[in-house]
Amino acid sequence: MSVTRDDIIDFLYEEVRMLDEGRFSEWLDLWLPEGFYWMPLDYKQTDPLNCTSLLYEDDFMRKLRVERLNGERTFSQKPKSRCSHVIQRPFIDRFDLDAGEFETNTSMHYVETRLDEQFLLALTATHELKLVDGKLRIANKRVDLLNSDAAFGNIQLLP
Amino acid sequence: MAMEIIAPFMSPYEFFEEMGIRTWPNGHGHTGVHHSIHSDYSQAPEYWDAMVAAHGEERAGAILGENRHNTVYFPNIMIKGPVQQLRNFVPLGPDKTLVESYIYRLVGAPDVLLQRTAMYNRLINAPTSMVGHDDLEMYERAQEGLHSDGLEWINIQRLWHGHEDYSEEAVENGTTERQMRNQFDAWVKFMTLSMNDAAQEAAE
Repeated sequence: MSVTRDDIIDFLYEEVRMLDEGRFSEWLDLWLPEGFYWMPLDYKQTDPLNCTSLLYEDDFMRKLRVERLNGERTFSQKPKSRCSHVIQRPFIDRFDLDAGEFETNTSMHYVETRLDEQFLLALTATHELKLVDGKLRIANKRVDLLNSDAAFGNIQLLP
Repeated sequence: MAMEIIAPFMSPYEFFEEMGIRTWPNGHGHTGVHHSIHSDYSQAPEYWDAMVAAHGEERAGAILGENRHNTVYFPNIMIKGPVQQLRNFVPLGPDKTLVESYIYRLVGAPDVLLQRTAMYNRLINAPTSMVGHDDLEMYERAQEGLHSDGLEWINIQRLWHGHEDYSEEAVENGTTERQMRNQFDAWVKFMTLSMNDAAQEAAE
């Protein structure tokens, strides 16, 4: 099966739509099990293990997080948070059809709200995508917040 | 490693009762006298060997066997010895507190200890922490409650025996509010310390 640049861009739009509509279990299925979802704490951080990050989540942690978001006894989600990603047209930095590997760079504005509070984060998401059995999957995702090193209240959903 | 860190937070009530609280004079104290959420972390063998080489087996065992949960230095510093962390609680206003969370690399110790404290900071203390989300929610709901005029007093008498001497060290049930009472006792002491001096001087 072949993949076009439009397919890749559609995939990224579909991903944030899932997050915005709270379809977290579907979002989990986009991932390859060995992938990491990384949100560094420092600007241009290179080491996820020996420095603090906001997120560095493997398959186990991603599932636990979604289980918690879907759970009945999740007190900080009564009532639930909502989010909105406004995304710029992604740059496709790598398009290797033979290897079935792709890399993208997407700027977004992310808004999260709960009760009377709302906050805005500007971010750049870097995706490594792989074509597996004819389907695009997330091999790794890195989210760099513009103000990653600021003091925050709860960030409960997934920028 | 993530499971080792997260799982103890879901321990039964008895776990926290039995872990114990120790209070010291002047508002200091710590949770986790007998055991804590950090007790069952796997040991880095090369660290154990290095500690034994430096201190001997008995002393190394005593040092690494101390697995306190949170050690609070009145009024606003909190240390987590088993994971090399320090948190500084900076009051910015009556309804706003900044929490700074520092992790430390032990010189000469294996990287796995640094990786564990970085992971703990990320999983538990970060604004993206699942554990932190419910903690902050609880603090904010309590704060909202304090805005109401329903009760004039805040009740912190849990497991109060009727006689508590805060100038003495004590070890009690892990869910006692003695440590809160101990902090308020220290607060009153320090807030009135110079007041008493001034009153005495005026009398003289």
